[in-house]
Amino acid sequence: MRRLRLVALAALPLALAACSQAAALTPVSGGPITSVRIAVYDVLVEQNVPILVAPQCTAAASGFTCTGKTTDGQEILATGGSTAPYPITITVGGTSIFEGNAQDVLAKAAQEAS
Amino acid sequence: MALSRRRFIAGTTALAAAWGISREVMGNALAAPLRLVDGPTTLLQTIKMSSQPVRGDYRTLLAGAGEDFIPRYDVLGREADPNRSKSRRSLYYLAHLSDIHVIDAQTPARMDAIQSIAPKLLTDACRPQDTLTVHVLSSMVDSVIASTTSSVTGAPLAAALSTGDSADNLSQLETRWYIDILDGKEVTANSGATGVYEGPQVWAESTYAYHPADPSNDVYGPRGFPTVPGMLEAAISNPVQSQGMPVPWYAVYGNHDSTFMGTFRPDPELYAWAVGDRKAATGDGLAVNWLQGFASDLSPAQMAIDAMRQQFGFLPGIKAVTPDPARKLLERTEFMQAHLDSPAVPGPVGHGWTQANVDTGQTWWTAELTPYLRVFGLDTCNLAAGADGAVPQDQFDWLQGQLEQCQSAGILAIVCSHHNSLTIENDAKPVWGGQPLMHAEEFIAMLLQYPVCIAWLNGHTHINTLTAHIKESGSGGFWEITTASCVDFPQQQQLVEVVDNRDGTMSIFVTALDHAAPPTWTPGDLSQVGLASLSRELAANAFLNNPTLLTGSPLDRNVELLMPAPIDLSAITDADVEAQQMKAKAQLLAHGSTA
Repeated sequence: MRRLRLVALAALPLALAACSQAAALTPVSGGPITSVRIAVYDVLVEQNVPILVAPQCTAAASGFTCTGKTTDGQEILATGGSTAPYPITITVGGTSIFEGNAQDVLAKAAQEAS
Repeated sequence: MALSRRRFIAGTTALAAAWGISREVMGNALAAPLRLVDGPTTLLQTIKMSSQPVRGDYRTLLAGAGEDFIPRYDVLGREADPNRSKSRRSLYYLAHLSDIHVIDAQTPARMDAIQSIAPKLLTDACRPQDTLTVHVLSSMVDSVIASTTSSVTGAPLAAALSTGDSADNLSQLETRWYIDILDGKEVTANSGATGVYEGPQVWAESTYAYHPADPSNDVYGPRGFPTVPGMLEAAISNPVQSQGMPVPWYAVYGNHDSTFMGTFRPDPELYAWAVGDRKAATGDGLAVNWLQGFASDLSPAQMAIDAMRQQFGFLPGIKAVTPDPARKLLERTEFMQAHLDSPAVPGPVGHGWTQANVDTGQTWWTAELTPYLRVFGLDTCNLAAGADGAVPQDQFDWLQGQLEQCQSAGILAIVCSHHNSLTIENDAKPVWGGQPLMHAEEFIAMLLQYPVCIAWLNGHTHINTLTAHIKESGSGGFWEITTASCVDFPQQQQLVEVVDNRDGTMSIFVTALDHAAPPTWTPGDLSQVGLASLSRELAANAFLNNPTLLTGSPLDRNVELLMPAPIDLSAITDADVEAQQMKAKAQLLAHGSTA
């Protein structure tokens, strides 16, 4: 019986790997890039940055890069790390407006003002 | 050109007869001018987590300040005229539901115990709030009813679009429960034994699950989850009442409506297991009795042992439960048929699908919401494997042909699917072949060819997300509108209103909508709305599901999405709009909602 159990447990990863979309088994609720994107937007709104084009985030060599534009034509540039707590930096027109962690930004946004 | 008196009287007479309401009452309701109503939306009040945990990591919820609309110019390519609000008119006002995930928490087909093996592999396998999904949906219906008058223009709500994952696990019961709640029927969210919860939330060995009667020995207790005696009994014993949707609602397939656990193609063993009398309580039991059925390398001897064991055996980790034939897993067309087995009100019968869909197996549809606005419901689910999806070539070609017609005729178009632009890359195909699958890049490029396609509504990721798809010129395109879910925090859906600014631009107002249960759960409140409130609080603390991420940013919630008018909108006369709004007002009046 024990052997049967071991065989079956061994079959679990096999069963999942047999699925050609094993990666799709992971939570659908977004990965690090989503955390970075939302945190960048949170910061831009909180700091009243006038946005013409909200930054779009793409994977970069060492994490993520997000670029957008303000209504007066300045570039919005954000970079984000790919490992928790996802450090981000944001500049507008070359001026730094934020350095911190995406997870902290998200947690603060979800909570009542203290 | 406004509606003539003659057309108004004729319309009133026809609508009064259609809804069985006196002409006088109908006439008075239809003649009333539009007025702005501040419905109980997130424009007035949001829901926030407490700044400090109350026990362990556990936070309660409380009311926060409302959030005003933020204009987004991405697709317009420039700032908008600040005076646009003085001249605008509503073209259509609808509700967007998605990822309702009604759950039969006791079905043997539920894969709860996988969380003891790999907690982050399928985070939705066993949530603390699994028994409360019907309560949440009914509360969301209440919220939609309270929002039948637009906060932007005063226009009446006219329809609802539900973009998939309505049921959680192919289940006949789950499908029936969700349809019945939206149709205004009573549902008792129980299966198996009457009034007795049989599942991991009471089994001591299922330590991966939240045990509301005493969480001290499970993974949730040390994190501060509350002791709520009687929660499970109240959830499964007390009938849930629903007022029913006040407007016609439409639905599309989601991966959880199409595949087992939203991921696997079901096999005959699973169909049998769902209606059987064994349920896995631990990972051992799950692995031994279920998952090896998916492996392809079992020997004949192994399969014989499996068969004997399933016929006669009990193993550690497997519990006996009361079997229930109503738990059967639905075949593909049975899901559509369930929508056809639905009353004419709120309707439409089939909720987008028709008898022709059932007869042919075609799972996508189109509907004319009003002569100047058409909606297209796609099926982006991949039946081979995987949670994510793609657009099959036949649907891609069909939609392109439909959009071509809309463009020629000056008809606005909204596309609905379950999967969004981040999740239509699933290339899994059955071993016997299959048609080409189109991904986000091709799909978006195709939609961008048709300016009348103003919006793509979807869900899947359970995150409020609003994405601009912009033409290369930098102006023009469409908006992708992705809503959060009813099952995970923040348990929000959306209100969507298409507005003509009468200055060569158009706006789509999106409002995040909380369900109507109180933000703060009162300990001990096990009433219907109390359980819905508790569900939201449990979801806010469900650490496997990343709850702080799912609300999205302010740019994803209450926004005015601007775009160039895709056609000469003056071709849509005021009379056309008034006729649409008369029809919408009449159906709200008949429901008992006001507009």
